[in-house]
Amino acid sequence: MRLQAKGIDVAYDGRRVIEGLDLTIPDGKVTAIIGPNGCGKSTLLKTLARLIRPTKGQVFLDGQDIHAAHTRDVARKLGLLPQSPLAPEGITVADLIARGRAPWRSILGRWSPADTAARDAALSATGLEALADRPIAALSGGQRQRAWIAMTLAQDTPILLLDEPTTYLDLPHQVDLLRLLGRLNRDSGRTVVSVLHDLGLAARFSDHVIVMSAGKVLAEGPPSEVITTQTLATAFGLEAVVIPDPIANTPLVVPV
Amino acid sequence: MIRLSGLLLAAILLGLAFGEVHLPPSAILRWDGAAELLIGVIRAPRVAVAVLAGAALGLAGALLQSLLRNPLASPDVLGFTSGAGLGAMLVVALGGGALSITLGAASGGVLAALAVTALSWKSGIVPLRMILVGIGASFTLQAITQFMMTRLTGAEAVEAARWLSGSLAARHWGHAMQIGLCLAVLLPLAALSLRALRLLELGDEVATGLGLHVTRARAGIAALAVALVASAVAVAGPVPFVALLAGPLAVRFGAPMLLGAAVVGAIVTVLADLAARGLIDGVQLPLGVMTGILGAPYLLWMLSREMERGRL
Repeated sequence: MRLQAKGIDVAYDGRRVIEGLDLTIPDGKVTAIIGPNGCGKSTLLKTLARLIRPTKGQVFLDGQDIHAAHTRDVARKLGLLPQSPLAPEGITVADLIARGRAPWRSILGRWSPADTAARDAALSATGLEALADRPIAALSGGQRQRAWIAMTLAQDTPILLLDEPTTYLDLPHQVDLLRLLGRLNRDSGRTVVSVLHDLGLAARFSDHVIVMSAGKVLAEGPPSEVITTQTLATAFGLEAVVIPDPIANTPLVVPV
Repeated sequence: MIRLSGLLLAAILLGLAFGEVHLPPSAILRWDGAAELLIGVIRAPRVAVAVLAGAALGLAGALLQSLLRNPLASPDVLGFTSGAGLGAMLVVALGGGALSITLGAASGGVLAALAVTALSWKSGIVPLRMILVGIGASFTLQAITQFMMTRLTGAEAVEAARWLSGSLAARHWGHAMQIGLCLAVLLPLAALSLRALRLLELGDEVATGLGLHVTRARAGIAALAVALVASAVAVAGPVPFVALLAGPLAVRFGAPMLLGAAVVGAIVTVLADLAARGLIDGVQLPLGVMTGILGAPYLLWMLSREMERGRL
């Protein structure tokens, strides 16, 4: 397994958010991290992405401490989309995507045919070809989020971490985006890890679910094993019945 | 960019052709002794220093403005220019030569930058805090500079005052060479920093995700901006507002941020210097007074606009 956390403590703004956490991200699967607000799920994702340094323990990427590795080498293996990133004024879709090539270019290196190929592949995977020359500011929320995902695709990494990628999108666009992530996983075997809010969508569109509660992993495994009446009660304090979803047979949460 | 290059060329020609002493076009074309003295010895080095110092200031401003993502974040607002001014002033007061003035300006600029960064630090760089602390630091540093002036003898004080108001009077080719050499080193570094800036403007988290060492890149770019300011201040004095104006004006012209800001900085400085020495007959205003007259209304407008947008 390529991405692992071992015994990490993480403090955020001076407050300890995660304590003694061990975690292994399954390779080649779509993983969702869920949990109530303030449980530390975003902090966990940021720590896995080396944005936050744990106060204790280590995050390992391919067996090496992620903070000991050269940040550019990490950027060739692990892509990251933070929550609601801000695009600079006037930047076009194609230009934003092109910046995803940064870890592959040397200081003086010119834009190469491989860079063009990666940019075009990212445009077509996200269905943005027709919008390539539009400014990001002129796009709808769903298109904008796809443009950011396209930027991380151009980065061409086997692992992709996303912090609440569906926030601020309406339901059809949330579904659209999660389908896109599923497709990226199936087509290229990418490991996709997202922090998600919506339990139903997490259950429906993930192979693996990690439930966090108060800075610890409460349960993890396939959605049908993890999303149960009992974990919902413990993690969220939510009284709910879990029934099979009539379309996909994944767990469906019905609050009581 | 083509328009800007044309403007720069026109400004240089104007700067060479006009001045306190009027030279008829026929004399210029004949290139007689008077023309050679006026243009070749007096005006050309002055215009050259204006172009190079203006470019350095414009570039420094644009670097800091994009680094802190704020149009107010220029070295004059942040107190770096006043720091460089005080540093150079101390050396002038001690009777130092050209090289030690440059070093004095550089150390003053670096110390001011470090102090402003440290005083505004709050688990990281907070651009707005830094701007407010910088404005305060500017006033403090200028007050110290003023106090230093009172300790000088009459003649020294006049010389120092002229220098502090940002003056290009009596520049010779040595000054142009000096800033030319500084830019020969610093411009390639600025070109290299462009890619890091493009990543930084996506936000720290995205930039880190794309493999940029954010803290290191920030420090490097800030150091580069301070070096540019110091090299300009060493030959032209602490000329205000050029750094603040150049970047946003370049964007107005649709030019690329850094290159455009350097060219606009050069244009503004050459034209301001021309106006300073030619606008009022028989009066040679210092360059800094002229850029102050141009720049102060702009700063006020910018401050009120930022307040309206609720960013200040």
